[in-house]
Amino acid sequence: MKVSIDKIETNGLRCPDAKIVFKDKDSGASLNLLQMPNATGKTTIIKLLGPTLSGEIRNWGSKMIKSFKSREDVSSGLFSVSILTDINKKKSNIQFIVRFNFEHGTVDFTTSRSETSGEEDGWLPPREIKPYITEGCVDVFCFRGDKVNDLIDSNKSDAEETIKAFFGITSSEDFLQSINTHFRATVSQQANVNDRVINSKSNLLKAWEGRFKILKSDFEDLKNSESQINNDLQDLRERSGRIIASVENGAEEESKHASTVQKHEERVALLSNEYWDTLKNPFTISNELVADLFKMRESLEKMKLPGGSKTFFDDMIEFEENCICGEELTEEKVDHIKKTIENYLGDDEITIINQIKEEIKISFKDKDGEENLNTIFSTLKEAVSSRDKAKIDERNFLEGIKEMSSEENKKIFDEYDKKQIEVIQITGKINNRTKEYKPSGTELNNPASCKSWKAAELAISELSDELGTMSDMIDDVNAHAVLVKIITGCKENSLKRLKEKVRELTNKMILQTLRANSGYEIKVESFDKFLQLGWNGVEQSEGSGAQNIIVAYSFVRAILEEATIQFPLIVDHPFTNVDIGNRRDLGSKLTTLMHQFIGFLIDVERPGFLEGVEKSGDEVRYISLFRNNKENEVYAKKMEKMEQDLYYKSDSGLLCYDKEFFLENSMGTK
Amino acid sequence: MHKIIEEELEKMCNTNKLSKPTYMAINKLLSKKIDGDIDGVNFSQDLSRVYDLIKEDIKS
Repeated sequence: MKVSIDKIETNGLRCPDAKIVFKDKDSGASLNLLQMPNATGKTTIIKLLGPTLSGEIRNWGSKMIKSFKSREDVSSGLFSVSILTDINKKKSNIQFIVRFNFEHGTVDFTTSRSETSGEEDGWLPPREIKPYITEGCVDVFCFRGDKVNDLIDSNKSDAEETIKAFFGITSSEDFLQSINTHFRATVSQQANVNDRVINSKSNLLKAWEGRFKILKSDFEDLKNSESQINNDLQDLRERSGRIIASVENGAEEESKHASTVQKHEERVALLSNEYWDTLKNPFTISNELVADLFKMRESLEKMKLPGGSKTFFDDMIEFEENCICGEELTEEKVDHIKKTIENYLGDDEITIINQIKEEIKISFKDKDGEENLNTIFSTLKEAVSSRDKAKIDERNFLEGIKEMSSEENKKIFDEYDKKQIEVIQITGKINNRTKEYKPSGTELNNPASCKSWKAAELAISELSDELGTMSDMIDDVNAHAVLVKIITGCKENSLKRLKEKVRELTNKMILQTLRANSGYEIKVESFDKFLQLGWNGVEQSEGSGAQNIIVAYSFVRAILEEATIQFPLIVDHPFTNVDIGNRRDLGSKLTTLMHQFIGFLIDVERPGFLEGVEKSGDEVRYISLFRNNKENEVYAKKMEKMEQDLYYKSDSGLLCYDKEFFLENSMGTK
Repeated sequence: MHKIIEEELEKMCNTNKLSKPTYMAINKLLSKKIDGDIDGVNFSQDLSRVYDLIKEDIKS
């Protein structure tokens, strides 16, 4: 099964009106490079592409929709994506069309399922590709350059979430959710409510259902706001990044500061964990305590504990006819022995005491625990103060740039700071709404005090089970418990196996791309929530810019190969953090990686990369898109001298497919 | 549905002593969910059938 992007059409949006036609391996160019000057609307196209493919755009709010309106006075807009599919050797051209109504802040979504068929309402992809173009899946093959770092970031779980989305684990989680909802509804409706206790339980369950709905809806609203805030933050980050880059050595200095802060953050995290682990050992609290315990151990040693004596006499009474002295075991003697051995230690007690003695011995050996704890704490304190200093240096650097900026640009920095605070606030609220615990005691009887929808859901499940068991639904409760157990087990075991499979495949793909004996060897050592990089068993928190990109592309290729589906790879800023040598190397290999690669290129990525790409010859489609305005008249004139099929002109945009034009005119975002 | 999920589902059903028809019914329903091929009404009906099958398996 194969999917390619054929065409993107835009009208009345924040980017020029255009029809951009892409190619793939079958049509002769697996690599499509698109350059657009600063503020032409590259971000607009990228932001619309994924949600249009997944149909998610239908759920957007009016504020979000209106934010895509062109600067011109328009009341409507259009964004459409045509894809070519090859499913069981049957080729089709499917078009997803989004019509914007900027006055009402709404969108109409239609699908044209073939070149000859008309438009139908709704998102109607072929059944075979539907599971792979959901919101989570589209992010796999359509991503921004910064996603690369999210896959290997130990604080993020993007890599695991990707596997979950692409292989149906997320759907299995939804499935569990659905069966729980269905079960709760069944219990609420069918439980016999004649009994007073059952009646009261049933009312409490209804109150929790109501609370759950409120909390879940509030959570969805918060998630939407979070997505909007993150989009704004990303925009502001890019805009402030451009201001910083316009200052001499600005970008390099910024990256140096960011990397120093990150290194210090990692050290603080490492030492905090080490301190916490040490603190968990009770013997580290006091050296005197350990010394006293060792004295106690010595006393225990001197006592010569009667190892196993109780067990010995118990066995003798049970199985022997005579005592160890040779005399017959009469009832009187048995009673006497029983009374005498009551205070003796049995085998289990002896084992426990020996373990305690051994633990004390080990702790005494490491009896400098208290000093160790103090040393780690001092080091941690130093690390925290170094991190704070690095943060202050970074802040001062940014403040310096801000001072030098125009009033308009100062506002961008201020807005960026405000947005960062908003992110922290909304993340806190979302965390509160998603705390996972089982309400008990007074909280269980007071749903209104619960702030987490996950906790509310657990309360509902517990009450449903109780209610079902108390009424005549015990069979339903048992059947539900079995089904939940099966789906949960299946989901967890599958995820584990899939991650291991993708890890192995990713490492195979990395080997195919990395230069042999280049000293750049890297692999995914392990994969839990994120991709743990390393080599020869030695873990590392990240690779070089080139290594990180190779890992990310290999990861995507591995997922697609495992899913036996070919998708295009669409990347914004594909090579920002890669040095020239590696850009050249990667550029020469891109056409061999995927059947279609679409890269939204910026100026700083051109050196090295374009030389590498040149080696791929005709397999590259060079696309330049810019606004049709006075500033670009010179480009328009150059274009008009070309053959007509090499350019496209609209009232607001100029599009050119000429290779020489692309190479001669560097116009990507700086 | 990916073959790994299918295999794990079968294993879990066997471990929990469910019959082949019950496994098939759960498989079909989960497949539909993963492929986005099911609406609310059909889901409820199919799920009720799965519960009935599990109840029969538990009794036998």
